[in-house]
Amino acid sequence: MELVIENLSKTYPGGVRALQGVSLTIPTGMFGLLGPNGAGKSTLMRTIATLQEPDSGSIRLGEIDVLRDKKGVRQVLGYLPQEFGLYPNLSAEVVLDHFATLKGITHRKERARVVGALLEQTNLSDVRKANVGGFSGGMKQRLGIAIALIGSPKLVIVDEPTAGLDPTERHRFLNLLSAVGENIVVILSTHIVEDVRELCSNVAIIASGQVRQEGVPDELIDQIRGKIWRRRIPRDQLAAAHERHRVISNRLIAGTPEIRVYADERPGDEFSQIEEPDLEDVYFHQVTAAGASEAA
Amino acid sequence: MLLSVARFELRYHLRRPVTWIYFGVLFLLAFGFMSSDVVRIGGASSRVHDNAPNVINWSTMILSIFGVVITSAIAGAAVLRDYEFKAHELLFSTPMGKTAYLGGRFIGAYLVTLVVFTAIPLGLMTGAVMPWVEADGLGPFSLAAHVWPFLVYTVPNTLLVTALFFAVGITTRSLFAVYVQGMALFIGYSVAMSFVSDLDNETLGALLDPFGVGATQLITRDWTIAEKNGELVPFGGLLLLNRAIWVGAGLALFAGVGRLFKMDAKGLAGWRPWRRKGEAKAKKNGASVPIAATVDLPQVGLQEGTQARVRQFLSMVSLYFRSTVRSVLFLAIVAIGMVFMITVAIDADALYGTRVYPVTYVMAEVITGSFTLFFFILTTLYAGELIWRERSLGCDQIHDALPIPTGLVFSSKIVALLLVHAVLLLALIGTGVAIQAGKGFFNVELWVYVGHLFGITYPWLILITLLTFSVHAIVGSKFLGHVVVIAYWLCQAILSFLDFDHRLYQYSSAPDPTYSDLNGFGPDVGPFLWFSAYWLAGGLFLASLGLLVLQRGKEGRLRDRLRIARGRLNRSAVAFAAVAAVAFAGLGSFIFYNTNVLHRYRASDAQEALQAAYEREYRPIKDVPQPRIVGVDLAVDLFPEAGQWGAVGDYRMVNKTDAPVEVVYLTMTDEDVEIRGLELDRPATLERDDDRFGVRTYRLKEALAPGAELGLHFDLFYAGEGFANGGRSSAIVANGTFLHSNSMLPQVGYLEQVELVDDDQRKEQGLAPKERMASIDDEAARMNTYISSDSDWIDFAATVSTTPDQVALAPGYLEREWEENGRRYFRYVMDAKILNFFSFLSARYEVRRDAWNDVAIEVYYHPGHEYNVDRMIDAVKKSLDYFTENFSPYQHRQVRILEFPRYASFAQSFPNTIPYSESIGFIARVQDEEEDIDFPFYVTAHEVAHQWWAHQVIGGNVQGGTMLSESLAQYSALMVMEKEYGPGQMRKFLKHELRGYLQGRSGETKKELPLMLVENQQYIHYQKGSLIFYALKDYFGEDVVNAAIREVIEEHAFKGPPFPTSRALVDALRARAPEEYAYLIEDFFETITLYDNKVIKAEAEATGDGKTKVTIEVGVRKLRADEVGNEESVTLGDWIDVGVFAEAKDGEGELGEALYIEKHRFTEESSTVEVIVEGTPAKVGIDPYHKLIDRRVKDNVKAVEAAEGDA
Repeated sequence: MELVIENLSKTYPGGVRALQGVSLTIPTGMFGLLGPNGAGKSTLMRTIATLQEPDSGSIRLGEIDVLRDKKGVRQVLGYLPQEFGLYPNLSAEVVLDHFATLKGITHRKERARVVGALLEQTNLSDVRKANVGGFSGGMKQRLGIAIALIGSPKLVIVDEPTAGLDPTERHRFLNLLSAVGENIVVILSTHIVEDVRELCSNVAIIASGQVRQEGVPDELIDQIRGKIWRRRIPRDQLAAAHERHRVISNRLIAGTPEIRVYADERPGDEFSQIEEPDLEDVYFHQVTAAGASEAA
Repeated sequence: MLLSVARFELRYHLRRPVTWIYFGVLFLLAFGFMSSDVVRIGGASSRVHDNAPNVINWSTMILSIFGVVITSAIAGAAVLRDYEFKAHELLFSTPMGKTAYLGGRFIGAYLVTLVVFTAIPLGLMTGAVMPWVEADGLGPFSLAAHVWPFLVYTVPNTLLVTALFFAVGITTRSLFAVYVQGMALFIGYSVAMSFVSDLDNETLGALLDPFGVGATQLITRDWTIAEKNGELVPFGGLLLLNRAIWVGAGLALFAGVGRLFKMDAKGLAGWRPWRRKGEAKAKKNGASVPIAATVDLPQVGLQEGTQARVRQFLSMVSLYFRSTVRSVLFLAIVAIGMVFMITVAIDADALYGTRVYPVTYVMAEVITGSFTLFFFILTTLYAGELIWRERSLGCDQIHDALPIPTGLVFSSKIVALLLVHAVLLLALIGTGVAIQAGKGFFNVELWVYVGHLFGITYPWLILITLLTFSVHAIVGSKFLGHVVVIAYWLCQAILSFLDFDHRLYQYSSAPDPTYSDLNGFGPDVGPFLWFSAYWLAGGLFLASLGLLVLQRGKEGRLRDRLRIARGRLNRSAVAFAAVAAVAFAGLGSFIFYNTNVLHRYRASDAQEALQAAYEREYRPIKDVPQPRIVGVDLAVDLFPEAGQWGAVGDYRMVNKTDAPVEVVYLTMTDEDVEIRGLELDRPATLERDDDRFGVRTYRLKEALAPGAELGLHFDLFYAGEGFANGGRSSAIVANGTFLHSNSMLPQVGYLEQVELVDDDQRKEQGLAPKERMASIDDEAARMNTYISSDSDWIDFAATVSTTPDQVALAPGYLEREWEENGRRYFRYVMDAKILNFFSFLSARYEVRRDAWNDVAIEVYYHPGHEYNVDRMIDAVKKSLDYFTENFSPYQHRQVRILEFPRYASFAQSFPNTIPYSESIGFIARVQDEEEDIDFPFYVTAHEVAHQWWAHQVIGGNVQGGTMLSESLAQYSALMVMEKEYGPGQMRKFLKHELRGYLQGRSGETKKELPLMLVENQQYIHYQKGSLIFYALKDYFGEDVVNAAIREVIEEHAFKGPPFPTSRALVDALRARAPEEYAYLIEDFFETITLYDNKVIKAEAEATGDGKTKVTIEVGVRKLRADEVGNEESVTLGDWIDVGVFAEAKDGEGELGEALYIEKHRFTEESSTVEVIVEGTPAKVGIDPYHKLIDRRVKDNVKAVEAAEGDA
């Protein structure tokens, strides 16, 4: 099953163009959707999750026309939104049980099996009786994915799931996600490059409502190999460097700024080439490029 | 720091547009209060100015209470917005202190609220100067009248409420809790008000009322028109105490919570009611645990068949239900409601200082009555909570992406709330039963509870629940949804004020059936069901619209939702909406056919216009000579089950005038009565048939000479078809028919009683003001009695038929009873002339018979209502004893008391026949004859007395006419009661009468008159009548009064026209008045005289011979009031009781044994009286038994002090 998005556009009432002709083909497996805050990721996720209407374009999931047959999508969908809350006075087990019922698992015994398995997989069995209101961020996120996984969905959408999680919880969550993502479409939307690098076989970079680049991470990295340069630079020259070069990122290394620049040729003597650029460089390259074209 | 926070807060609010919207709303409300007639409070009438200080006072007070909603919004924003914006952690980490933060916020919010509330005086002032406000209804402008209530009510109330909202806000950090508290305030207010209405607790109630309304009510309830127009509410006594208590309480609470308040992220230190045990446990989990490499979940199929949908539906209903009823706030609301209900229900059986049996319908009606507002608030709040539950929890996106139909979710929430309502109703039934049991009453009729709560209340709850959910779904946001719902109900209330009162456009309106033990839920069950079904269809249609546009997902704008709605228009959605719409239209048409085709619907202004048109058109015929009815013979067929009756009969009429009668006007006042035949026995032509007013004009071929007779044969039928906007007739019903002759039979000539009486209504209709009654000197008006203008004394006979299991009754003696064609017939014939005033009753009666001398006594009552039957019989006997001995012989050989259903709550005396409502005597509970007023005894005596006062002597249709019937009936009943229960009981009774009189005169809309000129004013002819005649008996002596009464009977019984006036009695009394008390005739009958008597000081001193000398300093003032209550002192020369009393023993009430009680003559406004008594004096009093009319009776009695220098 494949998720095919064609020419999706959405403009909000305030004039914000959240999506501009987005086309993507998402195969089974983990698909990373990378983009900075405000890039249109959540709008795209929600649109796929039947919660928003695009102005134009189409989405197909296998045979299902997502925009027309919402019911069809919802039956195979697992959705974990960026921010969510749950009934604080209910236990994890009751919450899962309720959602399982609503998803269509109405046989009591089947439901009990599913709920038990989900609690087990998400490592929440010990706290199954505890009220959700007292859960930590990681536990809540795991419960969220458990809800999304009810009924063996064919399409799982997780929107910025690791933001705010500590490293342990984050790993735990990503592990879980990778385990489910083998035979179904899993879309992981995030602004954290690491998440994608660790998990995703395919990735799309989205910025300012447009898909900047799409492909297998290694191939994307290959495309910029040899074009990323770095130098350490005194603070007072930063502004000048930004004017002169296409700076894609700057960071501090032991207190001294280091900039990375995208250029076909060595931009200057002070620059040294990065032999092995990583996905983050791809991301920054695309995001800054989008910013530049936006500004232009 | 404090001030700068306050200043910031003030500026913050003043810059918010919503603050000025609040201001605008209050301004418009105040403006509307003043410039329209929709709202009339504070006694505004044709005599009390629209801008009278009392009106402004009440308007300000009431609007300040409405303003609580605004206060909650402002205070809520001030105290909760930091949490809402999640700025609190930022703020609390600044060096700002707690006092500065909370105090500054508080001061700022309070000042803003006051600024907003200045809209009230400004609106009222502006309203009064609008060009359409008629100048003659306005008094002089007074700035003080506006400023004063603002200071007395708005300033302290706002402080209290702001403090409370702050306290609740910082304690719970929940806006919802703030709403709930607003509700608690309203309910607390109702509790206090229900206390105030109970005489014994009035002070407590006045103090408990947090808004000061109770205290104000207590202070101003006796205010006359003049005082309402001229006085500001005195700020002292109870009102001052009330204000001090509540401002203090508010500030103390705020200060207390402020102390506990900690500026930290968690809120109130150590107090989180919603902490659950799971929390701590969950926290422990968090260490790293190895994760399974692959996720292995059982494969299950997803169900979407009907069975699955049902399970999902039930799962949601149960979740929403449980999460609602388990929440602390919900339990708090219910607890408040229960306290309220119990408070009200405990006094539900109170009736005029006595009690009734707490029968089930009494309890059920208390519940439904007192819980209407409660359920309304509950529905409004919780519909909003439930429909947006996922949104406020933040799981709306997860929920919306589930493969579950929107309609299933929507309906499960509706059903969950309905389930909550059902559970609450069950709890209320339980409480009701418990209260009944607590009162020692075990005859619980569960199905009566079920009928009231699940038959009448629950359908209404379904309807308002549907409406509220639909509005929220359409509007799309919680806050706006609440606003629209409340605005809708307000509009509906205003519309009905503006005479748009047809139930077809008043959502959820239906004629509520009244339960009667005789007749069950009665004739309105059918109409109730039709209207309810109509509105159910309407509600479901609305809900289907709501469902179409209910937001699912992120598209919240109406335009987007409408676009999405198109996609939702599948076959079943369209079918559902269409069926609902068709049912709505169909049922609506059927109802319209009933209310507007089978019956006539008129809004009240249309009705008034019709009456005005009648007056304009027919007033000119008022003095056209008409024949008078002298004999009536009827055959009345009652069909109780069908709600129909037929009447075939004959009038014998005589031309009693000096002129020939050429034209006869016959009027049927009830337009639903079908005239099958109407025929004079002399040749006549129907000149005009005016069906607007039901007037037929017959011109006699040959004029009817003076003294000649004319017969009228009529054949009338009431088909009782369908139902009207108000329901069906409650006069002819399945069991408990009570038909009054006036509305059944044709009346002759011009009917003055159709004319509009209220001067404001007359003005609206373009008619000149009208005196309420003809002057006592109007000789022409005295040619009629005050009850009928086409007849006086008549011969009467009637045959009444009914179903075989019922007994049918009419005035007269049963001459024959037989069965024919499956119906039961009764022939009643009267052996003496009676007034043209009779009725027909029919029910499945039990009868208890007794006799007094040769008078048969019969009580026809509903089986099960035996409670007071013996008491009634006893009262009849004792009344006959007293009346025959002191007044004159009884003209009939029988007294019958006939119970009728509680559709009306009075007893009324017809010749030898007394229909008596089940609600006023039959279920009265006289537990302690020493303590309680024996209400059935009193009512019975009063009604038996009417056999003399109305049926022997009846006044002419002029001022003072009702003194001869009602005041004398009161006096007669008092004498019988005093013989039976002693003077102590009389004092208790008269205390109620004094209260009633003072409050009655305060509500006067036209003019108060002296007793002998009473214009059918109940507070004068009943309450003042009791007081005056009892005092008269005390001063003149019973024999003197009775002798005067006998003289009136001798001269006027069964005579007329002309009919006597009150002068007959007053002159007879004057002639017999003891010389020293002769002044009382003027005080009691000819003027409005009040006293202001008080004990200033009382000292006791032992005289040495075992006796005590008591020196009493008294103040005596005698006042004369004019028709609006302006008082002036008049010269004294009055005899007034002075009493010295021993310490009261248990059960003696306020005063103990009288050591001394004598009348003293007072000529000075302050004087000193010395009396020597035996025994130990505890209290002294001037007019201690309250025989005279005194607006302040509390200061009439004072405790005795030991004299200074007493050795």
